[in-house]
Amino acid sequence: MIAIQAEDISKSFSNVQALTNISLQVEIGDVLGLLGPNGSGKTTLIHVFLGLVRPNTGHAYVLGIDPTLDPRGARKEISYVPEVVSLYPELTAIQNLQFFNSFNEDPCNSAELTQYLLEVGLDERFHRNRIKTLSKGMCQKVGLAIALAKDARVIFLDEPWTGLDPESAMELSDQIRKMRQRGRTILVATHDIFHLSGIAGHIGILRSGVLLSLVSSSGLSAKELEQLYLDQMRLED
Amino acid sequence: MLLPLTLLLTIVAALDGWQRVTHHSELRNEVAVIERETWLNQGEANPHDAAHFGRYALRRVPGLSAFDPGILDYSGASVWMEAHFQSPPSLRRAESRISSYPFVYGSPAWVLSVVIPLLLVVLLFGAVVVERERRTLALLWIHNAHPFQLLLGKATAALLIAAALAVFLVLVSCAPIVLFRNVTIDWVRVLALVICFFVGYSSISGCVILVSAIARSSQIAFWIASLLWLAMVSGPLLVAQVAKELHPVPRDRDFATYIQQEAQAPFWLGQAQYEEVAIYEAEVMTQLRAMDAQKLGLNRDALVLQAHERFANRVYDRLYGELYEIHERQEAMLRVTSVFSPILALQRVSSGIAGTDSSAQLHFAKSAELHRRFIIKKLNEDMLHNAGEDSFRYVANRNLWQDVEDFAYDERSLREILQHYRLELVSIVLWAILSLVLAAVVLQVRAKAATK
Repeated sequence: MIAIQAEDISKSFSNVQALTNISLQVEIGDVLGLLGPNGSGKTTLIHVFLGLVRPNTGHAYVLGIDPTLDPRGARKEISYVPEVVSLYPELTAIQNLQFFNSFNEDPCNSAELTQYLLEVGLDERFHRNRIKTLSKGMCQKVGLAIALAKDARVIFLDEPWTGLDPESAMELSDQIRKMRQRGRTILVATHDIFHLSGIAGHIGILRSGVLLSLVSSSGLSAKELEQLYLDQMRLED
Repeated sequence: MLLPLTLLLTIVAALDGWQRVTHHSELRNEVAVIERETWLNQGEANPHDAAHFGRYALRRVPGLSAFDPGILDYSGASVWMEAHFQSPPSLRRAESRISSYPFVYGSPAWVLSVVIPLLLVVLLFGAVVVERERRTLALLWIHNAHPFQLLLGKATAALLIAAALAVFLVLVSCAPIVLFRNVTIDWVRVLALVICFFVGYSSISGCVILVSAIARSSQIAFWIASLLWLAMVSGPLLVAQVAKELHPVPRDRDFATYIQQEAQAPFWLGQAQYEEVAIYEAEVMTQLRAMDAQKLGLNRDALVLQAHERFANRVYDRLYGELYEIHERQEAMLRVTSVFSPILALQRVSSGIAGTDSSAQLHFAKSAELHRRFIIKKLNEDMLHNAGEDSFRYVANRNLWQDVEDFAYDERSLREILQHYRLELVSIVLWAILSLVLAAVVLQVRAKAATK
């Protein structure tokens, strides 16, 4: 069954063509890695699925719901971790989690929220620290915990490894694997081929808003994936 | 940092206010005793001489003038009561102040109605726009937060701040009463002030949240909210100047001349006296069920004096009525302005509840004039019935002076005051409701517009 679907999506901002005729499908339980340089349209495509960007042509579907037509319906099924996790700096990690969790249909209790923070690798001694005192990596973990607590079936991660130290990046990769094992569908936009190689079921390569290729990554090593990516880039040049 | 500074300013202003009220109350009470003693000890005199000897009607110092002095310092604290003349209130407190007095505007009410709204601007200008800049707003939409939920959160926080500030600062302003025990205040009025300031702050908070929801950046939101505050504070000053230009009051000297021309000369030098005396004499005869004043031994001069009082009173009612009408027209302009400025509305209601507004002053002046007429009539009637042929040689004694009651009047009730300021009260409530509803609409539109 299809969890994420794009049908011939195009989007332009003023004179900039951000997306051109993008079509793709992600099956339930799969992880799609979107690779591409900065400005290739990865975030714009995620925003289309989130209902934050309305495409000029084409349709996006999340579990069969068009977020442009029914943003609230689609968002019920979606969790999102942006590249820069925006949280309330004056609140603590657990308070931020509690706050966003309060909007969920079936909010978790305090113990469960604490468990989510531990699960994403945020040490308990930081749970009651204000966000403004935490590092970017820690904030990223809190953002991930917020996404997990929502218990959505589809998760969008935008540049999740950016700015993380190697240990945190590894933990995040583990976390994504766990989410996949739980049957979650995940779309990861990144240019970090190394971390993506071990977890993505399919890889899409975007450049200047065009989806150059969409391939299965099973059996591909990081090196082979890197070669594939570079070949696609050179081909376009 | 701003909050402690504001609190300090409020405490200083409150101590200053209570010190001033205590001083003025003591002074007023001392003068009242001296004034009464002087009246009683004037010795034997003709009642008409006593009517010219005169008395003062002293305005009671409202306890809450420590909180909001309103126009009290700039309006007369007493009315001189003498035969033939209606006097305007005189002896302004401001005249006895030293010119370099450093704390002219620093009353607690000023801090609460001008400084606290600015504080609310600083606290709330980023309420919505910072969420957008911080991108938490997008995250909230993705978590399916409803715009009304967001607004409810913002409004609840703002209302809690408003309630805390209103209760705390009004009570802080009234706390020094513990130190100055000889002044009393009406705690029901204090409660009314708390409620008014709470609603006022709610409306200002609503406006700032609305601005925050509309503005494209926090910087723009801050400037718009600050300018809005400035317009609400300074706009009324401009309107007051325009009102004075559009509805000018006659100069004091001109007004005194009109009175002389219309209340004195036509009676004493013209033909009005004969008709007026005849009418009054007829009324007295009807009251006494008699036919001939001379047979009753009524004093003719007293009859003429009281007839003049009746004649002059009608002139005063007309001339002062016209003057008060001009004041009312000026007031009406400010009243309408207060619909556009919750700060002005709040200031007007505050001074009204404190009993230091212009309508309280007018109420005092009218009450004093009624008392003057009562005193003069009493003295003239004593002469009328007891002077006989002695006329101005007749003398009365302390017994009569004791019969002349001191000036005492009931201030307007809180209900009357709230009735008087109903437009201001309604406008404050409407500002609170409309600004929050508009903010909700804007947020709803913004939430939809989040889809670019």
